[in-house]
Amino acid sequence: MSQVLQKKVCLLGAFAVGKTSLVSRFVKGIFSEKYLSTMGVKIDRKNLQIGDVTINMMLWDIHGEESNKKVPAAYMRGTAAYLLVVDGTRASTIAAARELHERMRAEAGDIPFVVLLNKSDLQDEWQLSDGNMAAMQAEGWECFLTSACSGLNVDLAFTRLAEKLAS
Amino acid sequence: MRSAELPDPLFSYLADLYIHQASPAWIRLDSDCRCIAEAGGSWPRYLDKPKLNPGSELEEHFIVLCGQSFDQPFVLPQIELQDGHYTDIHHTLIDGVSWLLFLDVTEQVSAQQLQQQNANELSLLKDRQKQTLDRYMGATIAELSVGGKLTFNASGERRQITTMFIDLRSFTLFNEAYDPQHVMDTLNHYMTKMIPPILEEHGLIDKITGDGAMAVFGVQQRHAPAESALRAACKIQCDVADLNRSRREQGEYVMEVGVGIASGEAVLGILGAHDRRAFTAIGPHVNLAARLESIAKGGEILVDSATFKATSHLISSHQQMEIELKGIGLTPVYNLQTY
Ligand SMILES: Nc1nc2c(ncn2[C@@H]2O[C@H](COP(=O)(O)OP(=O)(O)OP(=O)(O)O)[C@@H](O)[C@H]2O)c(=O)[nH]1
Ligand SMILES: [Mg+2]
Repeated sequence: MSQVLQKKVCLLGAFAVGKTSLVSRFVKGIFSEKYLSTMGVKIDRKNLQIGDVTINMMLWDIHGEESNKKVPAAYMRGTAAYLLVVDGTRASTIAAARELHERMRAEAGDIPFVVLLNKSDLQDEWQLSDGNMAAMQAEGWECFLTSACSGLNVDLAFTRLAEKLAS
Repeated sequence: MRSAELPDPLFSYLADLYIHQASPAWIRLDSDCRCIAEAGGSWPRYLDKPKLNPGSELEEHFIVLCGQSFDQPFVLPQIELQDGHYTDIHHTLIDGVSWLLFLDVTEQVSAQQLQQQNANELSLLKDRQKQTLDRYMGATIAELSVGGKLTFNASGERRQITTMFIDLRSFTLFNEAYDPQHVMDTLNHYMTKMIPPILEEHGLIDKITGDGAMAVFGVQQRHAPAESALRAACKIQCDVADLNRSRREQGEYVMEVGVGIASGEAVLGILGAHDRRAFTAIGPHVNLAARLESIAKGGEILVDSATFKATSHLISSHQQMEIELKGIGLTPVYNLQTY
């Protein structure tokens, strides 16, 4: 028997890490170089088939976390799973991901999440050290090296999250 | 009178003003908060198909409200319901009845968007700039650590070294007059003239500030550090002068470099953990070198007497002065004109 689950999934991270680009790669299969900073939140949908379960993902593409513009708790309420996005060319974006992770746990509890280390196509500018990676792994974060630009691992990361939601 | 401060006519005027601006639309929810009991207001502002029939399911019309719980009041700010249109969604409970109020905030959000975009782009630019600069020094420290040449420990090793400070004159003024991208590009241009001569002479870049650097000689290579520093300083002044000649020809803004050099004993060390290592040199002459750089004019190289004595065979002309330096006292200073 096939089953349809409707799930709210948030994308969280510092500004310009590639949240909007990842959604548009995943949902529409397109990428743009141009940066248009997101205001508030924009919601998109995509269905994923996991075995005989259809996950109807409602993707909340939320504005970037900044010191003077925090992600409001109202956006987090009712979330079933989330993606933490880090910009691999800016090690400082790990701290924002960590803080959002804490706030999400406080708001929604221990729900599934994955971590996307994005912009992996920019090898020359890559900034995450082995130490950074080891620290994230040690916290139990399931990390994917992604690129919204080339598409690398984008479907894989979203699918992995859907699997966690289906089980 | 509905408000303690405002007479009724003004209250109505104000309410009309704001209500008109926000183009409200509303929904009364049925008792289990799943379906629409009643709806009204400016729906075409918010929805492509603004038919909200009583009895229809809320989630059919608004994916933003899927899975939302209505047992508490809430505000969902700045929801982009349609491309480029932003809505604040309020949920409120009055006498056990759930109401949803939709307010158009597109105008306010668009104004903020411009500001946020600029702030984010500037911040990205600064990050990138810092990375470029870090790369100059990161490379040397990393190479040395890997090669095992930097063997002294954090408890410190004493060594005879030469310290050099370089700084772009009038950068501060320049900084305020141009747009950020232009400032960064120009700065990078000058930095590519200032940093390589130091590395060629086996100098170690200790710090890069926005518009200058501190370098030490005698760490990677112990032989004649003062000579290495002087050769690097002359090369920098020479290369920057060349750059300025061509910039002048193109009608571009030019900047000059001031250099201060001093020599003496210092304690060396590496501070910090593995991936955030910082090299440090501590000694009285380090402070002296910084002072000399701060009084050097564009194009000048000022050195202390220890450096002068160690390099006198390389110097063709100089000017000797006695300068009162704050916290240090009357100090002999040698000005080596380079052009
Ligand atoms: N090379 C490369 N660039 C990327 C990648 N992902 C995003 N970008 C670029 O990074 C910039 C920011 O991307 P966005 O997707 O707008 O970032 P965001 O996280 O949505 O930003 P905010 O909405 O401001 O929080 C854009 O110029 C993108 O083109 C990637 O994987 N590789
Ligand atoms: Mg975005």
